[in-house]
Amino acid sequence: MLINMNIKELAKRIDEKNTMVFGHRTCAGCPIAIICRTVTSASDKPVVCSSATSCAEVTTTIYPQTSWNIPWIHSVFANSAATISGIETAYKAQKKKGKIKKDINFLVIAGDGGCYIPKTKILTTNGFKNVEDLTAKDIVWSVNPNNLNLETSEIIKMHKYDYKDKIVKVNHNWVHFDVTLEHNVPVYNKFNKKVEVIKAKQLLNYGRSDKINIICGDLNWVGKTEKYFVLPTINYSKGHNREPLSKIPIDVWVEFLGYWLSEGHLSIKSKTRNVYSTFISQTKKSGIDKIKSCLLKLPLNHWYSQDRFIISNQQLWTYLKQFGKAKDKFIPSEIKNLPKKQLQTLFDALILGDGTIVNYKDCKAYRFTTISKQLKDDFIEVSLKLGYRTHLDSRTRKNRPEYTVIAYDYKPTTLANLRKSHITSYNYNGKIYCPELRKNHILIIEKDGRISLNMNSFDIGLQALSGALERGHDFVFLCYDNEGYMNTGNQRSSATPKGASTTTTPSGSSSFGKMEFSKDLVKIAMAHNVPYVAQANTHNLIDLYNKAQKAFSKKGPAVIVVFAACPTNMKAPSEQTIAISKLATESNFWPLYEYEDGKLTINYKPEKRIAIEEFLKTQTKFKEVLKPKNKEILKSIQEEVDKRFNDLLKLEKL
Amino acid sequence: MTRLGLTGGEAIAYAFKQIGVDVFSMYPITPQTPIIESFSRFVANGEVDTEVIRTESEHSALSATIGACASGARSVTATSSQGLLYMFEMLSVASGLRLPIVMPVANRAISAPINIHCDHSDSMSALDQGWMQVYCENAQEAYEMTIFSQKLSEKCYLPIMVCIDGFFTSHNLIPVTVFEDKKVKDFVGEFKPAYNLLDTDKPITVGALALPDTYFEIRKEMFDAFLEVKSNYLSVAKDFKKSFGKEINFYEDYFSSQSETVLVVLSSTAQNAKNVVDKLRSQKKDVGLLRPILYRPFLYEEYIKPLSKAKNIIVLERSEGPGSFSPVYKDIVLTIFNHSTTKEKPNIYSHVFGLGGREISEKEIEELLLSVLNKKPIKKRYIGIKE
Repeated sequence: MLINMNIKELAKRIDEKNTMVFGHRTCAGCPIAIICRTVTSASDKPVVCSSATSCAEVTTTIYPQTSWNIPWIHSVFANSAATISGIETAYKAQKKKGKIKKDINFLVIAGDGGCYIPKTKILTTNGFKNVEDLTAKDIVWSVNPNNLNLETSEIIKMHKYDYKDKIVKVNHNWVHFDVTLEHNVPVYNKFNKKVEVIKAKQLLNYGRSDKINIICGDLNWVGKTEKYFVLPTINYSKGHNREPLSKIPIDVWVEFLGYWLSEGHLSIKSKTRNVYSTFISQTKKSGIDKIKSCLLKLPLNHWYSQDRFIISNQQLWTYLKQFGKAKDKFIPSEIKNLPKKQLQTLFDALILGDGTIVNYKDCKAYRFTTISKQLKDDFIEVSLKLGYRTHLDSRTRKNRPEYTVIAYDYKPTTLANLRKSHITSYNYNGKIYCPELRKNHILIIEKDGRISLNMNSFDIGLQALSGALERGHDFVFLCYDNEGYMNTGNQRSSATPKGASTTTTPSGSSSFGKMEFSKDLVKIAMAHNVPYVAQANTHNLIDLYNKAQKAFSKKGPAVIVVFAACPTNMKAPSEQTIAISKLATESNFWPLYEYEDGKLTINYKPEKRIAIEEFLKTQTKFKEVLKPKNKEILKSIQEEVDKRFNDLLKLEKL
Repeated sequence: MTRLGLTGGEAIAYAFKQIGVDVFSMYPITPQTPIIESFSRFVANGEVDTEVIRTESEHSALSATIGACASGARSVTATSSQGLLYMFEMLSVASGLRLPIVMPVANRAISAPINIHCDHSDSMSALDQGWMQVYCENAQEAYEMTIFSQKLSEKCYLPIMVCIDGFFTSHNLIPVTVFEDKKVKDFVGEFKPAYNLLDTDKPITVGALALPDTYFEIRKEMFDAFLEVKSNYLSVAKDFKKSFGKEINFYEDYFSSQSETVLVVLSSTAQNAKNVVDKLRSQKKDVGLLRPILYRPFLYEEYIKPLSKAKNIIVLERSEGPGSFSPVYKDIVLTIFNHSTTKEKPNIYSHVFGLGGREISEKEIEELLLSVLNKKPIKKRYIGIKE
């Protein structure tokens, strides 16, 4: 989402992120630090950075000091893109093996009263819904602050506002939410054992950490007691002269339902023969014994064959038919509303089927995996009612979503104790949403977070860049274009523009400087068909920030090339950096444009482009080319600049 | 015990499969290619859950391996010849960052003229980049040393090259005894990186600029790590014996410590040379063979024992040091010069053979040994060269 803000707000945001701190040794007037800070701040997820040997590297990481507040690696000149492909792959490998836990979803209890940004998920009686999709008809799960009882509550009204201020972000291993400043956050006071409500803005400047405990579990639940479960009666088909089933004791039914929901399926209805078989698969000896003793208590016959239990009964079959296939399964609400005892029986039966139990020192973790979105939500609801602290891990397997819910009974505490590092804030301009509840005013929300990668360089790294772009690694390539090899003292590079005098293309009696036009890295990147490529400039940091945000949000490679007016290269006064940058864009020498998902957009078109001379004369490096004898050269530069811009206009129309 | 028909390249890929490496960054070059091809088949058949990066060059292959290893993943790559030379810049980065990367090298001649066949000029040109090196005789040893090296490397936090002879070993199919998957997994254990770039809660800067006031000490730390290799090697060898019942030594002593005339040779040539030694010993000739396995670091003091009786040492090598001497010869001379306590120093002869894959016959090896035994040592430095 693009942010409309002024430069002061941006500066504040960058300061808050503080990805790169003071003490670096860039030259006076050098824009590199500004560019790096702006771009790295645009990610709402942790950033890992790989840098080429460059000005940015030698000025920021002089051992034993470093300016970087984010993980940062440098190995050699030409390989930063290759390095990041290794890092990104290592991330994938370890994510796959569960060694890195980031990018999992976090489940948490926070308050309403303030507002949520979109995509925050709220637990309703029909599972999780995005806050922006809630309506006054929905009934949500709320928590009674006096006894931590789970209770349903109607939404009286949905509020939707435009909001332009800070958002408070809490990012703790167990808790993740982004809320407005006035948002009420319920915290647990360990001393008086009471739930207290504080404003989110208070989180930003609190002193004592022991007070800020977010509730993540240990909720109470009083269910509705039932003695029996009654299977709906049906009209038996011919040949099935059976007595309708009588009442089934609720404990037995709940246990059976747990086994069936996790491991069961039904026979397919056949046109020729009426077969009404219910199956429960199980091969583990201990599991078989448990299921068998449950089935024996049912008023039904069963038998075990090969790897499954089989029950043949049309009435049971017809009732279970409503649960559909594995991806549609759910827990009926009358079952979810039973008291804790039955819910525990159901929970244990589900875990026996589709779950695993991991024993830790202080806790047991019950992992339940399903491909049903609804069953996932229902299982979370049951786990919360049983007092577990609950995590959700979503992923895609075989092109379909798969969910793992992990319920922890961590003995010491289910409170998330927030430290200063868990709480940040950022500016936000957009819609916010708030459900107004009839009572309690404490909701159950869920929000995710994830990692992204970033970096920086032009010439000899191009091969590694091209390789990494083609392979489609998920990373952002940031190139600051300072128009030469500045780290080694201003030699000509392929980014050096025509007419520039450098130490290896010095102007002299028979040379005006570099003879060739610069290489267009943006177009080279575009030719790789990556999702996002942009050109930006230092005088318009908001544009740069927005482009960086887009780049980070894209799945796959993104490239940003930023004009970095280098005083040493330009041979211009150091206070002129921004003014010269602006001239570069106003003269169409450095247009601001982006190429997003195959569509090119020019972000800024000068009303009247100024002559290239105006830009060149600010820099001593072009002194020779501006002399009257080189009039023809100057003309060719102007023609090339205009041609490149016209090409962009044509591409924009495509 | 399972015996499989494997080439050297396949044996190494099989070892990596059993280790279960996290990231394999690959770029093809003959004769290393069978390693990455075999491994790619494991990936295609779902036998491993390794993430593979098919890079656009060797420079990027090792760069990506470095990035992955610095990010806490057990990461490997493989190469040969010009590929190794193209990686050269990255070699010192891997060791400087103390990353335990295992890289098989299928030894091949270097250009110009271009030649794809075996000699040791590629890995021998990278002796001083802070990488350990082991040289394997055959596919069986290549398999075992790959598993061994993974653990050794992670214990020393130093990268290692597992060198096999291009074609002679990489493409030759022999019966290889492989260990149980679980035993291999248990032997190498979990990878415990010294640091992890992906720990975003504790951001670190890797690869900083060190000026003259700090650089020397940082490099010395890496040099010092080589002093620890001997004890680490012994301890990993002990574990290896316990797990698989097999001895791993610094070198192979084939009658060397009891012989007056010793032939020193690396890798696959030792197999033919051993036949010659057997033949000559059956004729009551006092000859033995010494085959260094761990070649970097070269444990000088360890070579006194197998050379304790030697009066003549013939060092036969598949690489040359233009304007100087071949590397193993120099190391043997240093051993004798610095560590031998005997008054009478042995004669040490240096010969070069088989560059660009030219084969050496057992007859040529026999002639060489006989010439020394008969006190008329061959003067010719290059064996098998056309006059």
